[in-house]
Amino acid sequence: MKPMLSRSIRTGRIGLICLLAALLVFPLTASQAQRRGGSFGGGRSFGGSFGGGRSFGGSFGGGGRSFGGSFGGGSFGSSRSPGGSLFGGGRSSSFGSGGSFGRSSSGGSFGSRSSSSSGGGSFGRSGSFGTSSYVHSSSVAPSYYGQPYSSRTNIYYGGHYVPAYSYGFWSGYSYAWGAPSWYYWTPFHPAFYYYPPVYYNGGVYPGGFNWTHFFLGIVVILFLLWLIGKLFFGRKGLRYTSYG
Amino acid sequence: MNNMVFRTQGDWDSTTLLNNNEEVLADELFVELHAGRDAYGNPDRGGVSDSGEMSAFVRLQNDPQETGIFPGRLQITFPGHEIVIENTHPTFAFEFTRVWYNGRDVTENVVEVYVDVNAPDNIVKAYITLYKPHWLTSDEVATYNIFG
Repeated sequence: MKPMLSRSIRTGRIGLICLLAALLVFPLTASQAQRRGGSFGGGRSFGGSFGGGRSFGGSFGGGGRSFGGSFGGGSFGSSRSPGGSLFGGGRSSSFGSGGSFGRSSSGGSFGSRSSSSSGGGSFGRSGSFGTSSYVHSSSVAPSYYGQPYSSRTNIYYGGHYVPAYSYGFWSGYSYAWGAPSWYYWTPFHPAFYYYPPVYYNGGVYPGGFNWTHFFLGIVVILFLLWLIGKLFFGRKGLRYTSYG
Repeated sequence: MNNMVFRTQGDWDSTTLLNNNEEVLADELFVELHAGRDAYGNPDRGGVSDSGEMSAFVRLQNDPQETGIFPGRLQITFPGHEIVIENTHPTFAFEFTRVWYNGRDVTENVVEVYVDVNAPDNIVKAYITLYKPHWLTSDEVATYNIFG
């Protein structure tokens, strides 16, 4: 009986370890991003379909180039439309380097024909076109919105530079998700406890505290402490068993 | 050097004792080994390397004196169990003892081996106790009852 019980306990512990490892490997942010991006662009669906790439890659300042790279990597960039009637027949690189694609004011500037300006206008309104993968547009005001910020910088988002605010303490780690290292997915890095930044009303704000990761981090850290205690400091005692 | 093989199927008719492939007519086979204990006598990992003591003898039918088995090798086979004890050191130094249980070397885990096959008194008793360290859970002192 005892061996069977201990075996099942050990199996349970191994299962717990596997579960925690799986949670670390497949974190929740993907689904959260989808949830948070439910209003992705608020009628900017076009941006959603093109902005999914990770081309932005966290280079806040260098958005222009990577934007072009992202666009070129998509289905648009690789195909030259026959005759180029609708989009002016330009090569994909011209979209990326132009940088005016995302600006509604530019109208049809990306096209060589003025007649396509109306179509261009509709594209131009898709401000999230080329959105970096880690900044998510939201129609709901983020928790930091309206609060006095501690620092401000400009980042390239949606085809133009927008102000990005930081609110001190660890909120800046939210922006770290632009170029995450593997250990950002562990509870030992502050970025683990913050959502990626959110675009709202013309500005980018830290994503807020991730309570799910917080409680997950507590569980993982407690488990590790228990494991270390068991391995190195615990008095395990002896069990006397009899077989046969 | 002795090379003893004890076999039984669980009754006296099937019980045999051979030494260097020759049958030995014996009244008793007795083996008692203690090892794997710390300074306070509690079971501990280490087995034979923790030092210990062993007595192993055969009492022949025509000679009531105890006849030592070691230096040599003793194989004890019960249904479903097999213990092999070997000590070929000329002076029977204990630390040169090696123990296998069901083909597995348990020299570093053995705590106790007890085998007593006494035909005149109709006593057959055998068990082996092993120290089994575990990674997370408590270490285990497991006694495998072989017979009796």
